[in-house]
Amino acid sequence: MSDSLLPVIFTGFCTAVLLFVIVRAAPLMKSGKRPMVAVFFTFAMVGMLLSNLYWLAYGLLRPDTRMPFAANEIGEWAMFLLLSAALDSALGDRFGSAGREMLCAAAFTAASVALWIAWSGEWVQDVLTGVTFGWFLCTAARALKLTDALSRRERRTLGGTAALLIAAQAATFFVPASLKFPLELLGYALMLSGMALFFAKLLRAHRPDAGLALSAAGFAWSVSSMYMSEGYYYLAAFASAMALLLFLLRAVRREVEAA
Amino acid sequence: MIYAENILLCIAVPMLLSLLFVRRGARLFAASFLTGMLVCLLSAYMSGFLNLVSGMGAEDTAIFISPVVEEIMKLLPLLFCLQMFRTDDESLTMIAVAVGAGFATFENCCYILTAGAENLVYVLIRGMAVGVMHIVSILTLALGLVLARRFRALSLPGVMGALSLSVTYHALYNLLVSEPGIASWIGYVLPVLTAAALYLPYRRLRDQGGKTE
Repeated sequence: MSDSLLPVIFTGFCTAVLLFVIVRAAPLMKSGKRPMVAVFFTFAMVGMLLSNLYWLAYGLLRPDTRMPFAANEIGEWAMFLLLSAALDSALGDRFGSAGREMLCAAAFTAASVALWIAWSGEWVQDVLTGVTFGWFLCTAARALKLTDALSRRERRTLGGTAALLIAAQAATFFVPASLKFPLELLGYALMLSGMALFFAKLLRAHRPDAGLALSAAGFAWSVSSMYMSEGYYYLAAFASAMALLLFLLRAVRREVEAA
Repeated sequence: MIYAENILLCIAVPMLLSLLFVRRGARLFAASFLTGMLVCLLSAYMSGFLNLVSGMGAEDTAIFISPVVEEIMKLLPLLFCLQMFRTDDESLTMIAVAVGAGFATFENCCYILTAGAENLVYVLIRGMAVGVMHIVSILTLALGLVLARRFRALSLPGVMGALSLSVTYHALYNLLVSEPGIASWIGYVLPVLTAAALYLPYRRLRDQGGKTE
C-alpha cells in the first residue's frame, strides 16, 4: 500500500468514528442537568470532523499543493478548546488547587511545542496549536487532581514519564547517529506505557467524573504521542486516541445522566 | 475595480434614515444589518492588506485568510452586545442573523457589480449559498453563546472554540466552491443542509426561552 494512501485511510476511519460519536452524543444535549458537557463535547467532535473533511477535500482538490496556512488545524484548535470547556463544565463548582499539576502540564506543552517547531519549522501554527492543546492539557491535569482519578504517586509517575519522554526526544537532536535509534525506542516505550496506564485506570474507574477526567487526559496523551511518532507507533497512538474517544463518549454519557 | 465604500454609502443612507421611523425590533434589525455591511467592508480591507503582506494571491487569500478574518469580525459585534448591553437571548439571535444577512448582502452586491448579473441561475445559487453560509456560521456562534450563558458556562475556551468551529466551516465552504465541478456543488448545498440541521435546535432553544421567561 502506498504511503500517500495511509493518511487517507486513517482520516477516513477517524471520520467514521467521529460520526458515530456525534450521532450518539447529540441526543445527550437535551437530557440531564448538565447538558453543556454534552453540547461542548458534541461540538468539539464536530470541529474534529470538519478538520478531517477539510483535510480530505484539500487532498482531493489540490493534490501536491502545500497549504500556505493549514486551515484544518483550526478545527483541531476548536476541538481542544471545546473539550476544555466541556471538562470545565463537568468540574462545575469543585474547589481546590491544582496549580502544580497545571504548571507541569504547561511545561510539558511548552517543551512539546519546541520539539514540534524543531521538527516542522512552522512557528506560528505550532505555537497556536500549542496554546490550545496546552489549555486542554492543563484542564485535563486539573480534572485528574480534583476528581482524584489518579493517586498522588500515579500523578508523579506520569509526570516523570512525560519529563523523560521530552528528554529522550530532545536528546535525539544532539546524540551521534548510533544512539538515536535506542533513544527513539525509549520514547515510544514511554508513550505506550502512558497509554497503558490510562487504559488500565479507565477500566477500573467506577465514578463518572473520574472516568471523564481519565479519558480526557488519556486522549490528550495519545494526541501528543501522535504528534511525536511515525510508522507503526503512529498507528498505535492513533488507535489509542480513537478508543479513548469512545471512552470519552461513555464518560460524558455517564456524567450527564448522573448529574 | 469597484468603489466598495461608495456602494456601502449608497445602501446605508436609506437604511440609516429608516432607523428614525421604526422602533424596537425593526430598529435593532436594521442597525445590525448595517453593522454587518460595515463589518464586511472592514473584513475586505483586512483581507486585502493580508493578501498584499503575505503575497499569497487573491484565490489563496480567499481560501485560507478570509474565513479567519471574516468570522472574527462577525463575532465582535455579538461579543460587544453581550458584554456591554447584556442583550437578551432573542435579541442576540436577531442581531446575529441581521449581521450575517448584512454581511452576505454587501458581499453579494460587490460580487455582482464586479462579475455581472446576467446569469440568473448563478446569481440565485450565489444568493442561496453565500447568503445562507454567512447566516449559518454566525447563527451557530450566537446559539453557542446563548446556550453557554443560559447554563452559566460562558468561558474563553467555549467562545474561542465556537469561533474556531465557524472558521473551519467557512474555510471548508470556501475551499469547496473554489474548484469547479462536483466540489463546488457540494459547497453550494452545504450551507442549506446546515441551516436545515440548525433549524430544529434553534426552534427548541427559542421555545425553551419563551417558557422560562
